[in-house]
Amino acid sequence: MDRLNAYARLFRLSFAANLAAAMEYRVNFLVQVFGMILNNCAFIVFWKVLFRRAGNLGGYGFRDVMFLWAITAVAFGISHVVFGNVRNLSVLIKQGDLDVYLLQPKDVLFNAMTSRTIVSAWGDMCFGLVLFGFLRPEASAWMGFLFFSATGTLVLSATFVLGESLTLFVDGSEGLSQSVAEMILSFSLYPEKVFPEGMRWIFYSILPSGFIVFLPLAFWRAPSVGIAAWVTLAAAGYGFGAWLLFSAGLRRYESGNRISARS
Amino acid sequence: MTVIQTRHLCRTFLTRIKPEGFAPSIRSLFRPQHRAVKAVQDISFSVEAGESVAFLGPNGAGKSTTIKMLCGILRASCGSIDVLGFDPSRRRQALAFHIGSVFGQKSQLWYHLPAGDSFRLLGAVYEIEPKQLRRRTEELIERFGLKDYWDMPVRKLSLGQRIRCEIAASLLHKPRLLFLDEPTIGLDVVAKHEIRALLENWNREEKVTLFLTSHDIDDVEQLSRRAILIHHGTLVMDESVKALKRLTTVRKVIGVRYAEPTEISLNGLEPLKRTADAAKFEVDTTRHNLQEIMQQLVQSGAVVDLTVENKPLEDLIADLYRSQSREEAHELLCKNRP
Amino acid sequence: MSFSARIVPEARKYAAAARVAMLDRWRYPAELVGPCVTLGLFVFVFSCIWTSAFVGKATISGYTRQACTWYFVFAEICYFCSSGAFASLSQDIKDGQVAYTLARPYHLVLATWAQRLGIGLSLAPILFAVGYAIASSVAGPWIPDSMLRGGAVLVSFVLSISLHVLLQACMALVAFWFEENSAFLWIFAKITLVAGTLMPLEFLPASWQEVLLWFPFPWLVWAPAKLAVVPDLDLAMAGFLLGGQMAWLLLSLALAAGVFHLAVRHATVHGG
Repeated sequence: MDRLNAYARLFRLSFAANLAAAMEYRVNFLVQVFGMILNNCAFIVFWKVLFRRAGNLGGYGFRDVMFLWAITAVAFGISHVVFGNVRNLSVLIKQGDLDVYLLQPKDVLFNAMTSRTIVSAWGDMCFGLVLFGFLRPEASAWMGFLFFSATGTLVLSATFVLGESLTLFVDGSEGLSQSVAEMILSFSLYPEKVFPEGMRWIFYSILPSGFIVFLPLAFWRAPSVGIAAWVTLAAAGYGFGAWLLFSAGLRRYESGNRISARS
Repeated sequence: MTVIQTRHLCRTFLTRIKPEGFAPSIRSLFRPQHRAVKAVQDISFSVEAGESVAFLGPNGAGKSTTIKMLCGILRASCGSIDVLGFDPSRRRQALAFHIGSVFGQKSQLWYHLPAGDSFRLLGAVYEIEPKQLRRRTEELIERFGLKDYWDMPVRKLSLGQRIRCEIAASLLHKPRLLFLDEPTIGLDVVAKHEIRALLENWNREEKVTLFLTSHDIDDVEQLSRRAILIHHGTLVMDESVKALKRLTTVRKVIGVRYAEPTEISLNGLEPLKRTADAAKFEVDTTRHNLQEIMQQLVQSGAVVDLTVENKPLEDLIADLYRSQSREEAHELLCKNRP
Repeated sequence: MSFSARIVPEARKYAAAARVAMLDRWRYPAELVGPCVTLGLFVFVFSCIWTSAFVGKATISGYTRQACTWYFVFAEICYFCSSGAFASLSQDIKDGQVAYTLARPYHLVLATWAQRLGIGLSLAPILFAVGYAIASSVAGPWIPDSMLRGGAVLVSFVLSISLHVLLQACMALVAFWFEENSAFLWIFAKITLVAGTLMPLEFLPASWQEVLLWFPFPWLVWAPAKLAVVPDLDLAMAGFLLGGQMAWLLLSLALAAGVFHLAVRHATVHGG
């Protein structure tokens, strides 16, 4: 319990420090937040135009795609607001900046991830919440949306960590980490059924968009306890798995067996 | 009480050789070539509580690797380490509560916020009770003289002010052992004196053991009482700083200036520097009689100025750094023993 | 001094800059994997989207499924090969690195153009190979049906990179006055995305198309992509599209040179 309290205190203070640091540059904060909202709106225009021309896509209508965007945006936003270094771990590893966290008596992954916030992610978060609001959901639907945003945050963050952890095992794999991140986001933002049936198993395994958005969408259309249970289990599983892989990689980092190239 | 004990410590790295050119680069993706590098070989030493030790060595000697093993950042390939009763590789987090670190290029303060915010965060990292944290922070502000810029963002502080805050932050959780990597690098003369005085004071009064790496010999002379030198991954020298300074008394640098251009001839001694009316000689007192040399210089002409200095400690350290092997370094030390 | 005696050494300078930038990009081939994977992913995703969108339809706004798939490939390659100029130039200005180039006998804008053109041309073949492999497996191969099309697409591609780089340079040069200049690029990039990158310009409402054609956005990617896929390409169409790109290129060159001239006169160089 003491350990839990200690981590909760660290999380609270890290978040407060991150926010305070971001607020040191208010103009930059606002520019980044509104810029990201604008960025996301461009895609809404694209989808509106496309659906007007094409009708539905793989059984998905405009509202369905907006739901995908809303959940992904909020999950991505929360992930990068509270775990700002989640997609920067490979850079920290490569530059030896993980040493600072290794010298402190806290879990390295947790400490490293929470010591930064991405300002533009606040824009993603706001955008997602407003977008869902525009879909005019019932009051009860908000509970489901927030619940799946939380599970989506965990699954998405875990996927990023899994990708970034590759750098602990193979040098020069930062590009692959970036590709993993791009793939998970791409597949989470497009209708599931436009993709060939033979590849959809990927969305429930190595690139878990299924647990981030497709199952929540199914829940939104027809609520089911089974879906909620599966998504919760998956979120816990991916989270734990990511921590395990990172810890295993950290042992290699400590053993200096991370093979590094010298020219 | 022993705070650090290493026995036959070694660390070998495997590095991939990255070839030049497009075709070799593509080939190396499928068939990589590796090279084993022995960064540290068979290092054994111990440090007692309250000591102030300088850990020296040229770039690439294995200093950073050794310190990383002591902190638990890296695991040893062989040998054993005991730091404050902990095996750093197995109980890194537990050890972290008892050690502090100030590593030159890596700051633990938040750049855009005042130091106080970083202190609060470090209080959470080290699980210091809020009341205790407040008291400790006030004490550190007082003793390190941080009051004038306590509310300023770290990015607006001068280097000297930032280093003070870094050192204060590293002592927040009352560590028993403090690792310092180049703590005075880039500081002006006054700031260096102040930082050394603070550290020396902390070592003396709080009995915090200091383990310092530095390329500044003044840090060694003024702050440390013992110097361990490693080179080519091995331990070359482990002496008290007093004993080291005694080694510098064997060679003297004699400077002489005359009223007018003067011929100077000393048997078997070539000058280090020579102008028409002045000269500088390095004299090995084990081979030459100092009194005879002084007499010859005085008799050569009308002396305006005469200085006799020990060879700088920095020169001795530089000679040790330049040695090609452990044996050569030992020979150098023996040659300089009075 | 004659005109050619002045121009030839200048042209050699910038050709050398382009060549060095090209070679540099290929020095670490592993770094090309990232852009290839990203492009491949996008082409795959949009190939799937177009397949789904054309279920029960032969054409949308005059484009077939194959045309839309290949349109996307060409549009994305144009965009990929010309991105990055803003970020690197902005950074050089903000950290004072640009001071070193100001002291040299070449024009910063022209040098940036040459370097980025070099990088873009070196990236294009490999990105095209990746895009071609994926798109042709879904929509059949793209084969230019005439010399006009082949030539026009090549020329348009070079004009597209050049135009994009110069416009990015204009926005980056604003860093001489405002440190926070990324907002300009974001707005520009998003409009470009909607105005012909993600889908052909013709998909947008007619009123939007009319307005957008007066701005540079469609001329960046819509023009070369349309040249690649429009059926029955004739000289008039090619002339219109290439002419529009050329006009905007000259305008942006003048704009970039003008902004640069003002920047150098009034700027304080950042960094210590």
